Amino acid sequence: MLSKNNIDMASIFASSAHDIKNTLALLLNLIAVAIDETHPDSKTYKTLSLLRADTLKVINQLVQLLTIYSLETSRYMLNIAHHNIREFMEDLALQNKYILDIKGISIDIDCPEDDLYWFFDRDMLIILMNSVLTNKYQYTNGKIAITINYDKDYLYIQIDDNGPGYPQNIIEDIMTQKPVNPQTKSTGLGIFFASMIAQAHKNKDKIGSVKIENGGKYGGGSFIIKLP
Amino acid sequence: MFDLSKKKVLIIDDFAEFRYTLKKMLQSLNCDDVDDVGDGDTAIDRIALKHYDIILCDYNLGEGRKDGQQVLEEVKHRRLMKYSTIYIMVTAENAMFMVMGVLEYKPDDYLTKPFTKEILQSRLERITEKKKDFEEIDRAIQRDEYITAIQLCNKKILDKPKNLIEFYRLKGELCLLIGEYDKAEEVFDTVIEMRSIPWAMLGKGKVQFYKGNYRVAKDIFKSLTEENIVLLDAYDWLAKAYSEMALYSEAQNVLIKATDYSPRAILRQKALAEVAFKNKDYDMAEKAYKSTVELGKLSCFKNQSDYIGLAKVLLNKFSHDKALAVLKEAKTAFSDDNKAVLQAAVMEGIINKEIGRSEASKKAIEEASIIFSGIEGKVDADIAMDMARAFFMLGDKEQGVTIMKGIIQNHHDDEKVLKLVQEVFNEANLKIEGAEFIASSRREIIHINNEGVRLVQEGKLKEAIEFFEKAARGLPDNKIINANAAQALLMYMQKVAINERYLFQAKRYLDNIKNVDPSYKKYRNLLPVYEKMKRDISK
Repeated sequence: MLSKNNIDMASIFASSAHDIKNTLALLLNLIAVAIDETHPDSKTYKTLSLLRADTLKVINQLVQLLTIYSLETSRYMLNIAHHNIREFMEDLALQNKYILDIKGISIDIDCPEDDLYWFFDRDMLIILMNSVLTNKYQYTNGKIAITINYDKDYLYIQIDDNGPGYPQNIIEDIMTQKPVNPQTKSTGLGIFFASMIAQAHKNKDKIGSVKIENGGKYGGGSFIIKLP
Repeated sequence: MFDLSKKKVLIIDDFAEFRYTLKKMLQSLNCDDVDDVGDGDTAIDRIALKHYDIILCDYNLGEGRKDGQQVLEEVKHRRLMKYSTIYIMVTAENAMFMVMGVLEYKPDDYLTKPFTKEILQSRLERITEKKKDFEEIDRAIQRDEYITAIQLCNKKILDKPKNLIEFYRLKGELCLLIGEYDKAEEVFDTVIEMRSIPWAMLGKGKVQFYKGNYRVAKDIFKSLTEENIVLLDAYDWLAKAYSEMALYSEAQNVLIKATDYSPRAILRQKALAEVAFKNKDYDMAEKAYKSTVELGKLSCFKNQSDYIGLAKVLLNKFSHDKALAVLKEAKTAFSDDNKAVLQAAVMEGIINKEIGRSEASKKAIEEASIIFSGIEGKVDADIAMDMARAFFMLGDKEQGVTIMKGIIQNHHDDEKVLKLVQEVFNEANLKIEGAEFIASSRREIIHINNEGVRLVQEGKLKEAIEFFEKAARGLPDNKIINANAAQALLMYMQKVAINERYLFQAKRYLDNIKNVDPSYKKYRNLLPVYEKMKRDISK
């Protein structure tokens, strides 16, 4: 018997979100099949492509939610391995290709070395990057740049857009280390989530973090991930 | 872009729609030779019949059926798959529970649903590249040439390749395998210096464990489980360390926690059953053995000892009839396995005796002793001890003592086993007699060994080979005899000429030692000599 006390709402939501995500995954595959059977110049092609891009977006958001849940309930163990940064970024761009194509957004990747390797959890960083990009899609005016830098202790991933930039109050909240309230709008949730994943990356006494500012390469919003 | 047009692909997924869309995805990549199946058993049959270049297997294949990991384990265990075959595990959620598994039974990569065709293509391309990097080393491992494999790792590491860390990992595991614990520790420390990755810490813990520093090992494993709640391998090792320290109830608690996270892991259930039995927690042991037997029906890791263990628990719970039923089931499930039938028959004898059915008991033991005489020397010490125990119970002292002699001579320098042997004698009220018998059997084997060594020293190598061949027969666990037997062969070949037959024989002796104690110094000295000859002859 379910009594009010032992209903764990979070886990019910999580397992439903999981089912929805799987159904959407199947849907996404079916859309891909339909697209392959449609002439690229037709109107249906365009409509289906939009459908695909939005389905992908919803999936990314669900994955983000599910990841927060598993991190919060400490059912997740980071799988830290050594990854090639350029390959990782290329995979990321490939994964987002359909959204970028349909929205007419270009991504410019600037990595200092082809054989730059770093330690991190591949799946987690993909989800983090997708979350940042999803946010950027809303505000950019067609350009996104990802710039990689590193020093002895950290890897820096800077994601810039040519949009209007972040609202001042959100930047201030972050600067003053005020705990970000995940309940305030989507940007809040995105940043809450991103810092959660970044902070899960630790190396000896160093710990990952994120910050946002305005400016960057295009004078728009700039999101910086720092990984030890 | 990576060309898929000539690749043979197998899709394993219980959802027809998913198979359909994945097939379509592959077709759009010009790949037409695609088969798809809905369950693991059919998949294994297909893989046995046809070579596939790529296998895309869903992890979750439905309640009560083999999952993707069990399919992978079986095709690897049965060597149905070529090394070049790419096996990708497709998962609906993050693969965190799986990624830490044994290196040997890991897929080439994980893909989380959904993935686009571009991602699939790029992943396949990278895996192919990576497999090429490891090909040479892997071939050496498949030929059991571990020293060569380690040397190849060293060469690769010097070049600072793409997958540097993976090469370190492989080298570390290989060093553990052949008992090079100091070298293994060096490797793991190098990695930890860069980053404290769980597998490297785990490796360091294993080194300490194998060196016998159980307390240090325990501390490492314990802190690993605290930092990574779902690092289940660390729980297994922590339980092992506790068991070595005779802290069985701690070991049991650790395994209860780990099996809660992974109820389908058969070997872990079995470990729990065994340790619960030691704790005399028969309810827990029964439950865990039952899960083990149940899981075994889907797994290549099933073993007769799962049934025997369950029968022993039931015997201790005085459920004699249930125990006999389990043994009957075991005999059916393993009807073509001599050892299994032997073990079941011995247990039947013991149980029937206990409930006063002497005729049935006698019959079972007779059956057992016929099988036993056929495979004597190839039976593990604990099975042989059960056998001896049964004979003592039936009052057949002579048969019991004969079996005990075999055990003692197989383990004449292993105090742990000899202690257990003494316990069996004590149970049979043969305490003093048993102790004397252990001493004389040991003296006998030491004498035999000295005799063989004398032949070697006198340069009578051919005679020594024959002598040790006779001595080693029935003593697969005696590392000293096996090492000397291998040495006689290698020395002969060094002096005269290398030949296939002697090499094969030497390998058998060396493998016997590896199974018992790979850190045995003489083994580590002989292994490189053997591998060099093996290389020379194949040139």
